[in-house]
Amino acid sequence: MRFVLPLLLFGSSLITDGWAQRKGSSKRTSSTTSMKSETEGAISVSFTSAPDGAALTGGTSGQRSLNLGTVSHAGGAQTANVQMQKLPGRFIVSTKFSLSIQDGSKHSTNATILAALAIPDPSFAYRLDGVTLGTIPQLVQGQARVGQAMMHRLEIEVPTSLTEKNSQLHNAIIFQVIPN
Amino acid sequence: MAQARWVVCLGLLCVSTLLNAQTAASAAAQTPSAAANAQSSATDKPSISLSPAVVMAKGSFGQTLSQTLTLTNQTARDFAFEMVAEDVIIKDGKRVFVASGETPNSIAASAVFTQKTVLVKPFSSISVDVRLTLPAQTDIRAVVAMFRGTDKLPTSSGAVGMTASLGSLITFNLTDNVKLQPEAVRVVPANETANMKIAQWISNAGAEPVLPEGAAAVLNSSGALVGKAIFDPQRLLPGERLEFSAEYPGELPPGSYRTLCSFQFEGKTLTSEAVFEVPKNEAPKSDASKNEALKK
Repeated sequence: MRFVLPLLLFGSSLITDGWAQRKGSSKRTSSTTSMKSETEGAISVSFTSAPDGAALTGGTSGQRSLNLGTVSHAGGAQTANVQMQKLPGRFIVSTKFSLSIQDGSKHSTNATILAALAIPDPSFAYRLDGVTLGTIPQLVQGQARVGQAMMHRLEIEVPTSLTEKNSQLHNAIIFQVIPN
Repeated sequence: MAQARWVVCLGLLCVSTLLNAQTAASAAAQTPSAAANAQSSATDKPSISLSPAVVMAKGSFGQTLSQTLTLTNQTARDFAFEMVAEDVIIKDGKRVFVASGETPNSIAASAVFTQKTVLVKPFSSISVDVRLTLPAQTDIRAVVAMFRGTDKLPTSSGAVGMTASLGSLITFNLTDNVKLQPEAVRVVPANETANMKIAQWISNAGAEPVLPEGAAAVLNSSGALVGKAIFDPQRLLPGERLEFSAEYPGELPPGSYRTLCSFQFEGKTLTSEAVFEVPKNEAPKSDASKNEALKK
């Protein structure tokens, strides 16, 4: 009986240590637990000419330009499918282009499109589908259909007070496309 | 009056054809050199693509999510991006994207990207890991992890650049509070240019994102099934309200009909119905609707 008791105590101490270690490990991992997740598809963006918009030209592998040409208050637009509307003290140059969002996996049925100017431009007013653009992204389309080319109208309002020298455009439009 | 005379040249990223997800995924896995070998076929691919498009996470408050995002550049020019995260909240039933930290208990504010800026070379892809840690309490259930374009403006005079930023939507399901609020079913008659449309507005009255998938069954006066139409799945964030619509391609003979709309989400089923008539030589008119939510 004298020999049995110390052995039992020793065994109990091992078991206690084992549990304590497991509990400790569990606490450490719970503070950095990762969430489970599922992923869907891939989204891509393309710009193409609109049938009744200014033509895309140049480039062979993904980079092209849409040239609206020279526009003047007196002479109007010189390029096909570029419209010019005269208003008191200003004129508006406009054309259409197509933006297409694709998700080959068909998981996303629509997406949100926002647009912003790269830099502030006090000389001109840029409007996309009637939405005035600034440097903060503006909602252009909340439910843009994925898989279909959507036509958009770009308008640039030019005050007639601008001279030829300071009427050059130096800006960019940044689109944001987010699947819904 | 001085005449304004100027030149506008819009530099566009041009892509002419579609890309399926598998192609995008394989492209994302390519090294730059391997991708360059595929250059000959790249003209058929979009300029830039992002994978995954959507991440749906499940867990609880305080947990973290790590996700790899891959952007593929199938153009012949470099693209520069900065990595940003924005919270997605709902205001007046619509989505609003808010800069990280501007909303209480922001999830986007916790975003840690392995790279803050990236340059994606032509015909190559780049992957960035993002880690998000959920606050102990938040009403926010979605974040956008964005590759925001930072390309410099065209240097030629009179040119306006156009570039695209792409974001992955990341949603979080954290509780069991899932509830949809249906509105009346509408049946829009067919006309010479459009099929009959079955539509229903649904609001997310719960606290979690939901992706309902549904169909509408059309029954005749004797209760026999005469056709079905599928609703496009749309994700509803908490507080969001969207119209689900399905086109019925068939042509219905005159008579009385009933449509049963059924949506499945998170193990639940939501059913609604409407009665409509197709008069002789006239398009159908919606008569009444009845909604009921059933739990499976």
